[in-house]
Amino acid sequence: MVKQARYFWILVFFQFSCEQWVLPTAPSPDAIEVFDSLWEDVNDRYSFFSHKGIDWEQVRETYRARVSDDIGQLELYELLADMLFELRDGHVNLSTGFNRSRNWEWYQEFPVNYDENLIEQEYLGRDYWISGPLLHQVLDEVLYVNYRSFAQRISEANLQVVVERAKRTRGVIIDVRNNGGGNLSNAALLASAFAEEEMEYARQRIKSGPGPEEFGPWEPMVLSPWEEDTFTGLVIVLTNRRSYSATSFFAQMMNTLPNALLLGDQTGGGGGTPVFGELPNGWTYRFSATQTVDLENRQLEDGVLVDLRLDLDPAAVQRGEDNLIEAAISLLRR
Amino acid sequence: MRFFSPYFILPFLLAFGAATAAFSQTKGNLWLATGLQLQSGRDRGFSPMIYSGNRSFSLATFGIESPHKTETFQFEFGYGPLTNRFGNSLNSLSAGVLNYTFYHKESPAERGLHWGWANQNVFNVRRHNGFTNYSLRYDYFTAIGPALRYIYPFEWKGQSFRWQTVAHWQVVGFQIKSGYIGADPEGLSEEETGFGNFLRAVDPFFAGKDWSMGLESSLVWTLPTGNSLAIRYRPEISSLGGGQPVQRLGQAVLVMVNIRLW
Repeated sequence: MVKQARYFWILVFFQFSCEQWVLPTAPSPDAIEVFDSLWEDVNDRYSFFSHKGIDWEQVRETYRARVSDDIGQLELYELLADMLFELRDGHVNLSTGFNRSRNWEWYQEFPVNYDENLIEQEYLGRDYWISGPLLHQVLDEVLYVNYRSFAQRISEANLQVVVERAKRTRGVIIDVRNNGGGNLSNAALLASAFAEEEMEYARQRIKSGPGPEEFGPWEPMVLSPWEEDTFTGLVIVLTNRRSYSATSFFAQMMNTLPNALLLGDQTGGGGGTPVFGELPNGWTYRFSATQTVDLENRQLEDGVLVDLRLDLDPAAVQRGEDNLIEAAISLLRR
Repeated sequence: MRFFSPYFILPFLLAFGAATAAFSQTKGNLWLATGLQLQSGRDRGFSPMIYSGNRSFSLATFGIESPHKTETFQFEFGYGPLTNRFGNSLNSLSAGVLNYTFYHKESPAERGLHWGWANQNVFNVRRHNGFTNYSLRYDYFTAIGPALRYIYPFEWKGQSFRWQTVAHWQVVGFQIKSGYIGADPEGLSEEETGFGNFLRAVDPFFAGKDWSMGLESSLVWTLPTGNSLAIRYRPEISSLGGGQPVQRLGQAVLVMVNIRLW
């Protein structure tokens, strides 16, 4: 019996000796380990290396030489932020307790094409309707809808109000300029109110392995009509370069509808859904891990092109007019 | 999940017990246990960081002992938050069924070393609280392997006690786990048929690449009524390789009540 019991103590010892083997210790927060962890994760899971022609190995050589064990936290943050900046991607951020890196070049080098004060004063006025995040006003028999962030949830009741008002007008303007994105489900819900039938609007694929071209299959992205009565009259969507991420997806959804038109400047992009990660020193980050293409295989990361290219005219602004809204009204009344 | 509901399990056990009671040489036991499990784990699909924490952990075990073999069917459930050393958190839930069969034709059932086999089926799901996208990941495996039981009965101050340790090691089976980035396993939606997609999502489980082993050591105090009270210490480890590896270490301490069914 004593001999048999011995086997069990051996088994217990074996079980506990497996702990370190099965569950390795967490990586150390040393600067070099932090750098390698970030570089490797981006190398394995980032989705646009080939599309953007980025030599990530070269980036590693450039930046790793500047990392040393005695580098300060701020200096390390700046170095990692600079490295991530090379991805030229608005969906890439490094978040620390003291700062958040970003690349906003996708809109900073382009015309603003949007003046919120002008819209408040001259178009929404004082008696516009507020249905959840949707601000709307009837202008010359056209319903103007302003939606500033897809992060703000639209309810079906909100949408019902807009659709009912739209049915009494000659068309709808949906202004998503400066809308930096948010939740894709809000984009799909809003677009579904203007769709007559189910249709594919894009295809998406997701990284499935560490190789730069290791992706899962292209999956269709489908827009379905809202369960209630949809509005099938004319719709004009106003976009600018700050229309990003979920807003680009919304623009692409509307782009495929036969009754919708995009007007303004192309969207900023943001066609890759970001995946999150964390570094051994506690900092977190995100970067794109998917690719989305339109029906002509054009990457949404490069922005959704408009049907009518138009910039905000300073002279019109001086007159108290937003010439994009004016052009949209004119088209819908035609 | 509804099949794990006590509303289903208890009537099933009673009906099963009534049917098997006809065999007068069998004994039926129901164990109910609850306690805390210190769990540490890492899912490379989230990060290289280890997440640890105390979870609530419960068991319901139904056992049938016949002269030559003992079979147990153990339903397990655990839930709780885990944090890494910087305070980021995820919620971890697990549910499973662990079956043992031990053979004791040559030795008494109530003492000694008994060999047998175990079948483990575990579903784990975790949601990261700091990630906006791809925050849900899960894994499941079914495996089979050898098991060992050692029982040592003893008397102390006129009371009956026994020490029981059970060990299992899962050797071969299959697994399904979240994909490289997203929650769905790779290949889950590549084919038209559900069964075809299922086959694409399944990977083999085999010792060497994947691991699952555990111990259950219990000190049992048998009451004069025939029922028992016990405390159990239960360490276990599991590791699923391939894709984004998932590793897990758990140590549970449980208080148990045994009801002698027949």
